Amino acid sequence: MNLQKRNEGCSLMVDGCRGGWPPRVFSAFSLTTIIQQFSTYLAVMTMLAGSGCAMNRKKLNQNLAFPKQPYADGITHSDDVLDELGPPLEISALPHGYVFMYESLDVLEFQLGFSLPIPVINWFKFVVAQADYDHHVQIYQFDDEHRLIASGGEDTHFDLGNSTAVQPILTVEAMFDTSSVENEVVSFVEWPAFCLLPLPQTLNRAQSIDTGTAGLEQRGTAPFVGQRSLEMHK
Amino acid sequence: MERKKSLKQWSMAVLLMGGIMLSAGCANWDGYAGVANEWRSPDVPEWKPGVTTASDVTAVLGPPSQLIALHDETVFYYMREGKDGKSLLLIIWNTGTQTTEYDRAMFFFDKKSILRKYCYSPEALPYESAEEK
Repeated sequence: MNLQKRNEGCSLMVDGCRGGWPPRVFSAFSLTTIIQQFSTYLAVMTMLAGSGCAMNRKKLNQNLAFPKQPYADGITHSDDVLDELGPPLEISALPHGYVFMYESLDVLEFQLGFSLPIPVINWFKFVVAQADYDHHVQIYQFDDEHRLIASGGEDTHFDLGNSTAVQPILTVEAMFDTSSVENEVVSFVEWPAFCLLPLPQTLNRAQSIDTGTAGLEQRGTAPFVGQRSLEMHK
Repeated sequence: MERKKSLKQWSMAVLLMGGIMLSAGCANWDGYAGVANEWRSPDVPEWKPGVTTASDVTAVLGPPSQLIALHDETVFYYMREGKDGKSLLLIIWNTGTQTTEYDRAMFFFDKKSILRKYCYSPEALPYESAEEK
């Protein structure tokens, strides 16, 4: 029994271990061993195939222009901003003027998955995921004479958090709901849709910051605070 | 008997490897939303502030994506959204990227609907006429 185990452990040199020379590596016995080893190798590969990582990236308006020189309050005309940066992604009227907003976004999600070589369980993988995004925003407020009143810009890195899940082994899908930051900058095809919204949102429409007459909102802002709290989001 | 067993293992392994290879793949996609970006047409007329009217603009570009009321001005805002995505699925390593760009044009009109200012975005999508759209 011990001898047999030792022979199996000799692998390719099995005939050499028996004392034969030159070793007959292609004998029926060694071929069986090769097949067994290859099967083991395939099993390991299968386990590896059940493991893996995935990277999802979403970029919005990455080629946004930046001002070459800082603009001066009270001097810079809105035409200067439009000439350099182009049309803003959002514009809103204000009581004594108007405001432009430029935004860009880069969302990155990374997943690491692995499976266990246990029957039935090996059809599922355990996934650990992490996501974050870079957000760039510039805001320019003008008076009725088209002169810059205030401006501000910021590059911010946000962590969307970590997550774990169990998925079918061949599933690759995002684990983070990034719709709050990915929504179109201007919902230009959704104007009539407000009639179908829940009643608090429809009633808030006149003052809503989506209409372009009552202010602006940055991406990713939670709808539970400020003006949108009137819409009673759950 | 042992050889038969090995053959069965071998067949299973080949099937498994084939399944894994068949599961690998790649994809790409693109999509557009919004109005046709007629302002990128080579035939677009020269807009002249103080002369061009709102009617001239809509005659060429069609209805704007948004019509925004400022206090003493009206803004015609044209926007076309373009999405372009690619993904590679190699089972062990999977990656996907989606890029969204906005091609924009903006026209400011005074109370008499005369053009005061217009501008296009530095970012541009390939021109596609309303007929092609």
